[in-house]
Amino acid sequence: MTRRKSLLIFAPLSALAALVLAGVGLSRYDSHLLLVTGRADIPRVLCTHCHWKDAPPQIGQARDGQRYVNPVALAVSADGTRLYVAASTQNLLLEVDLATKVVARSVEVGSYPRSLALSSQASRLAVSCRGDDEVVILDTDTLSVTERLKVGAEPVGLAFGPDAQRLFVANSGNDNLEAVNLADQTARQSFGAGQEPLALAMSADGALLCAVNRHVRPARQDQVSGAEITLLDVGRMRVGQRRELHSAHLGQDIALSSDGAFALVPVVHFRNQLPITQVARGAVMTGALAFVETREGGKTVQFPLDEVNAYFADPAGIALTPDDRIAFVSHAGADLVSAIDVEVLQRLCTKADAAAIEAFPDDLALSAQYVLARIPTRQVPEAMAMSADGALLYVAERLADSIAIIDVATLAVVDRIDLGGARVLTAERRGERVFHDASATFQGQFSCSSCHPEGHTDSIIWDFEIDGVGQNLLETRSLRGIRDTPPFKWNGKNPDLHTQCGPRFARVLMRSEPFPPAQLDDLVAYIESIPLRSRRAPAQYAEARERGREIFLRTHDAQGKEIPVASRCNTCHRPPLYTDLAMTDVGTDGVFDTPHLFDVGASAPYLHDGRSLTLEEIWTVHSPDDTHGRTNDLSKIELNDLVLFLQSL
Amino acid sequence: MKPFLGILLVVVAMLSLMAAIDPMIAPAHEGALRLVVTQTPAQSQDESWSQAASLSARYPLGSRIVLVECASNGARVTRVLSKGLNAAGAPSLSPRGDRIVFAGRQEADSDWCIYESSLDRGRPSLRAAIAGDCADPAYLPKGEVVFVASDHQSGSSANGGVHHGVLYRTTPEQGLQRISFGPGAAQHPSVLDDGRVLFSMQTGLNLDADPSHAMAADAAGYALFTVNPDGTMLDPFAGVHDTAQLMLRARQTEDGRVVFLTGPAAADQSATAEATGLTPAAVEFARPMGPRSDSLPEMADGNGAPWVVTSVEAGAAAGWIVCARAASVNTGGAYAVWLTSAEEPAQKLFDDPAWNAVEALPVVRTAGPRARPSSVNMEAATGTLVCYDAGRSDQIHGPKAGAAAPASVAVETLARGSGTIEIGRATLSSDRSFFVSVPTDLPLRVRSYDREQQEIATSGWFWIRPGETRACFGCHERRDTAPPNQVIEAVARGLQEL
Repeated sequence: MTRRKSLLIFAPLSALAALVLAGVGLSRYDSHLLLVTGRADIPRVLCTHCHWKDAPPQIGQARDGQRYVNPVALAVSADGTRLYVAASTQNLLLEVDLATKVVARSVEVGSYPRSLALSSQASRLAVSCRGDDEVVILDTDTLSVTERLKVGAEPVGLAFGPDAQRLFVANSGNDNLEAVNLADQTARQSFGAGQEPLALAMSADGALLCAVNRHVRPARQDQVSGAEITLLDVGRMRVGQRRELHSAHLGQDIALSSDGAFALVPVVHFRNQLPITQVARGAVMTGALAFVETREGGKTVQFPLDEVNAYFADPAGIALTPDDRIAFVSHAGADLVSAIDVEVLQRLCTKADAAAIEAFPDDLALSAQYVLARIPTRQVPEAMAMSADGALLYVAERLADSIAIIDVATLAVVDRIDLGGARVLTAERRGERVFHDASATFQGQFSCSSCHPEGHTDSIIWDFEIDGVGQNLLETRSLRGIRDTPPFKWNGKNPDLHTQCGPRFARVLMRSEPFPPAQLDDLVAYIESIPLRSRRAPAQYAEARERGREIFLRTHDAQGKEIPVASRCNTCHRPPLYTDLAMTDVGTDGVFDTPHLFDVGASAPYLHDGRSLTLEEIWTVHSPDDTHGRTNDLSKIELNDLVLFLQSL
Repeated sequence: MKPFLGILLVVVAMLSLMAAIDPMIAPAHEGALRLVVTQTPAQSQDESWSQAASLSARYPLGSRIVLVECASNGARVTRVLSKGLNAAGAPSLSPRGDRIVFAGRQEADSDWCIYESSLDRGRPSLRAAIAGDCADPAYLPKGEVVFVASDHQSGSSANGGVHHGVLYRTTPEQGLQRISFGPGAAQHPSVLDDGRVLFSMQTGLNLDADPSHAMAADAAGYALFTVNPDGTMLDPFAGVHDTAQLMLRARQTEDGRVVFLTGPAAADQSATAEATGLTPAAVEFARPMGPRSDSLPEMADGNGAPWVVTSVEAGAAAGWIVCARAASVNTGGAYAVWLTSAEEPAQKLFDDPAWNAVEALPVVRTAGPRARPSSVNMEAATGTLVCYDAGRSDQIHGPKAGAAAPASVAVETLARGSGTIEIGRATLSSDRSFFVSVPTDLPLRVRSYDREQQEIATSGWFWIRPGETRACFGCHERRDTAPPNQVIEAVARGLQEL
């Protein structure tokens, strides 16, 4: 057989074989797609669309190889000679010699140190390690770890009780406040403290403890909600009062006056019940300082921090001079610190009747009466600490790895401490700065972080006017772990994060020019790196959780009948990403992108418009016909098991 | 060799001649302050000059725009930037500080057009022209320009003066685009750092009594408004209820203020301006509804007499650039360019007795305004108006405390010919909100009535662009407040077609 003849025979045969194989392959492909999704309407994609994906990193698994310091908490020694700094991504506690302005000592404390508290004698320093569920006690003389206390999930805020025998911990992952007797650590008490409590403040006499939480109580868009202040009577060890901060959230710091008569909490006052027709005139959100009279029946007043044409986004930290005369509020999104005349706040509060208290948060002319100065800082000022004599204020510039020193008398930055983070900025680091910088939005009204604190969700439902006023209520989705989960947006219109954060986003939300391409690249790099919070799997629920996992993966219902593939949990929420990367109709008035389930336990409310306030409600209220998976056959206990499993993701 | 030498000599001679004729190639001194100055020819008779006057009165024949270099040994004109034009004025500098746009006209009887000129080379090029006159241009982001043009639809266009002005912008895709649609004349746009256009617009027009009177543009005052470059979101900025005031030629400054020229409005506006002149004033940009202040350190001549100021600009590191004359000196060429600051007495920067210097801009480079995305959809037939609470009022200019609650709201526009007509009635929800679709690119206002059909309040004139959703928070409510966070019943009820 000549070579030519061979070619004439084998070429058509090879082509035929290839066609057959392709046909079989496509047929198998379609069968596979049908098998795992239960749907025939999903377009063909590459295998890598679903396979060879890794679960995203968790909080505490430092990005960027610990090259940056990220100071998130400060404390000044009683004699004013040392400044303690929680270096959150380096897992270190730094001690800065304030005479030389250099880091003199450091000690490894644990994963993601988040808050500091000095005992009254300043001999002990408590450090909450959010990534380890631990509080570490240090001896300040030797700067060595003397104790490690296991506490609740994701501890943040700390406060020593009177005589330093008791330590109070805000467990942000458990939504509670935990009191630990340091002499007998088995003696513990806990108190509910709102969604994700972050900060604590103890009165000088040790009689009152105040806690502030970050997130609103889950609510539908037509319901009023807000974060809350918990006032704990330390003598009686019971919650004395709870004050709701109407339409306000994102409280992450709190200061008490020297006599404990009032507390100050920087918050964001949101206006989600209005359609987002505009961002001008504070129509979406404004910064505020909550003034809380702590006495029984005292007033709670929100004083705006912005003006009608000048906005200072993301109020974060608070510090008060020892004489209670000036309060300082750091604005993480505006890179500055506001100095506030507290006497004016007190006077306005005293005069305010109920109507005035209701009107104050919206009165953008008010802040001219009490804002003494706006003091520029470097990137993302958050935590602050005042020297004992009230002469100097230390401001942690988190994304600049530095501490600004503000002279309280002149209200100006007089010096700066370099904490030594890497000078070369990675794309993720640059993107993190973009994420926290409000200057990209119209008049600097808010940053990405304003709606996605720590890359998560603000738990609020917004009315996006762009698709028709009242027609597009949408719950803010978490950005954690979304790297491999396209498409984006609830309507699945954005195939990638560059589109998600691109020109349309600028038109809909920023109301300003889009991010320049280089900034957009950096921003996407950062968003893709946002870690999940640490997995919480309390041992006592291990069995229930395992039962829940089996329910999640089941193929047959309680009666032994096979569940259609499309009605199985793991069809749409397929591990490891817990999403099929497709659009699904679960009986909520439309077809929506299937969200992943990471951190779903901390993402209430649920469904695209937040109509479900809890995970249980998804099935008990909003899926009466099993439109959201087969669950009607489950008992109450089985449903609880399923929820426990989901909360562990 | 000889022919080449000859050619070289000719070239050198020509260059020398050009340098003598056109000082553009005179080298600029390093670090010297450069100014773009509008000069009008000095007259022998009494000469008052006002930004409130008509265009041809502001820039009579022979007016020109020049580049002035101020050095330690004095100031001199280094280049005529409006060369070849019969009259020119109202220059505005590009953010890069290398170009200007300005109003100019070729001949005494030709229309005013918008020209652009490089500070360093070339002649002016036509940037925008429209039937009627154009004036007062300002740079938008990406090199686009916003300017005022006479509203020829109203029949008020007058050669030599933009009398009833509307705002236009240049766009790369659609050519010229009109962006203002109110019955009141628009004047003197400038661009804020946040990307909005700040401009003066007539308020207090009594269109019910005699609509044609409004077009005469004589009686009402001028307040400051902002609008997006696409014409959406018209918003009062300052002085909206000061109907007896003129607020003109507003500019945002680097120290966080907005400076403008102000004076009383009167029946004969130009006569008023000429008689009294306008004085500079300022408001804080962050709180424009707050108290006004004098924008400048006090300027007075030796006798303590006030100064007549024709333009104020900030931006020079040393202080304010002011064109002014002492009130007591009103002879030809009295207007000069001054530098004034809080620390130093006013210093004369540039004065040419043959000319009046009536406008001066320091040549500086700035970041420029931010762009604003457009929300206009020209394919949409209507716009949307949602009012959160028609009963919300500041109780000063709006309904007083104790006034009857509004029961219905009429949306009105100007009738063809005279008076106003009602487009339709909006149904109020129990929270006094309404949510309606409205025609676009027309003057609109809303009028609220109580149950007995007695009028409670009438809004100012505004407009809505195609596809725009416009929210108003109340009725003459305080403009320095945000809306309260509350469910809007009308939104839940759905859109009402008028």
